[in-house]
Amino acid sequence: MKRGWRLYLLLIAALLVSCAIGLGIGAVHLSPGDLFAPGVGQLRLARVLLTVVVGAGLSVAGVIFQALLRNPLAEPYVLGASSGAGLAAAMVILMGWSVAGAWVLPGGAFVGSILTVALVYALARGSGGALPIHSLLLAGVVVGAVLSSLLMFVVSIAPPERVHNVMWWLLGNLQIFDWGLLRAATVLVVCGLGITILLARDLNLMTLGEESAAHLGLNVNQSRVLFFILASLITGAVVAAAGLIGFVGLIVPHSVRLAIGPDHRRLAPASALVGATFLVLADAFARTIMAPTEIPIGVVTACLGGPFFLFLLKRKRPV
Amino acid sequence: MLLIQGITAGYEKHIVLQDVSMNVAPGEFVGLLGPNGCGKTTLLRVISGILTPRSGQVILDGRNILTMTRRTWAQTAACLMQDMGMDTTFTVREVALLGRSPHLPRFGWESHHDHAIAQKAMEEADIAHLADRPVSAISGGERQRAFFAMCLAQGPRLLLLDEPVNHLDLGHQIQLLECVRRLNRQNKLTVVGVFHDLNLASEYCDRLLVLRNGRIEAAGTPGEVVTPELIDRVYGAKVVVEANAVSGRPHVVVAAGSH
Repeated sequence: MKRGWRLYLLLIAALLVSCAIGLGIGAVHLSPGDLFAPGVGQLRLARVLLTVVVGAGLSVAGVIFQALLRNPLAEPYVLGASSGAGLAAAMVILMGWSVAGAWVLPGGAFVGSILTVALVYALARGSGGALPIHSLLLAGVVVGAVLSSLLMFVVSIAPPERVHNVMWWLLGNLQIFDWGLLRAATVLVVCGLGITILLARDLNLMTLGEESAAHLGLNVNQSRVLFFILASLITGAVVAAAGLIGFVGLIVPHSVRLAIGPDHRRLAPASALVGATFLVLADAFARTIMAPTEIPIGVVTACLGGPFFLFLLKRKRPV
Repeated sequence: MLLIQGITAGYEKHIVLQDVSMNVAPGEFVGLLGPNGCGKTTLLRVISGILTPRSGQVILDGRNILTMTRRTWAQTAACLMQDMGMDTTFTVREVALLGRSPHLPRFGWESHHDHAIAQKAMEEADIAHLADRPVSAISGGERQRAFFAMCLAQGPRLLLLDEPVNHLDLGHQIQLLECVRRLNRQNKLTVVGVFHDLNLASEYCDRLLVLRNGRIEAAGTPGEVVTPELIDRVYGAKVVVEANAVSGRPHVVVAAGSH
């Protein structure tokens, strides 16, 4: 059982159970047959599917960023990548380009995400070769804050029938009405995850530092670009479909790493499964605890993730 | 084994190495010496292929390293640096297995054969007893030996050392260098190492190369190179050089108040 098939079976079982819970509970009681009928049932099915994709995507993006930046606190939201993706997506909608097809929105968000990551990386790296842990976080948080306010500005001047409201963007929303967008986000996250798992050994080498990785035969420049693209692609897809949901990419990979160790060939797939499970349960909680009022999902993840972040910052656990 | 011809190299604006040439025979143990900023580490980075020189070439095992893939380079040579992997929770065994990376198929896992090689490497580096401990939870000396095991698992014919014993206490320094020396003698492993400590270099190396302002200032056996005149010229320090009572090699002695 070296590669832990038993572990994956367990995690898949947990995901299925959480999906059953997510589908079963909500403001309206539904029977299994209702899920495929148009109306509330189908909407809830779409919601749970999106939640699985978003939870898995955010976790894997976190895994990639953490290995690449050798920083256990790196994840799309903290690095500002989510805000960059959100701003780009809102602008794509505002310009009216999103009617061109379901792929335009995640595509635009991808561009916003990768530009933000490149900017944060350049700011944090400075003149020296090393990437100091605090300057990276600081650059990410500040760039993220600026981009978030620009996002709020763009949303506030946009005609309300076209763009989601500010709440949707800044706190995330897992209800999806557009099957095309769900399909595009799913394809992008699944492809990103698949390639990441195939190349996971390279992430192991990257955690040793770029020079050591090169000594062990990795073409570091090529790998770094590829993984930044993968993480940004996943982040863009997730943000385009569900807005900004923070800290999932922090909580999940770290917990999984504690349980099964830092080998990315296991860490990436396991984090995807655990992330999906986690977000489906968090969403079920957000929908029911104050029903019929729904707590925005970003509030739930931030309330869990914020303290977690501070705890890690204090301890500075290695990757 | 390693042929360095007319290397001029540097970063952005300033040139660090100027027309450096050297030739390392198979099985040799060569030490690079010189004051801080003289270009020792830059030379190792050029040999590693991480820094592309402005002119000159590095021939490793008969091939220009610029025509090699990273993978081919890593199948031939390995590099142990100082303070490696302080922020990783890989176990010692996992670290040793990482050394097999350049030999694994693109999407493959390690085979039993790779595990056996990693096990042997850990035994040679005298770290097998800590195989399942995370490297973040062992001492600096033990961690360096874990990464030394990783280098050995690569199966290199050339081992590069970049001040590998800096920040280690004397016992751990000697332990690691003894291990390098044993493999150098028994397995004809070629070693090129940057040293900070003149006495360690003098004891362990067959040949020394002294760099100063990016040029080779002196080259030869420790007996030829480690002299009071050279040390004064290169390091600007007045020292006494005696003979090591056991090995007979030169030993640098500092006398306070003699300046």
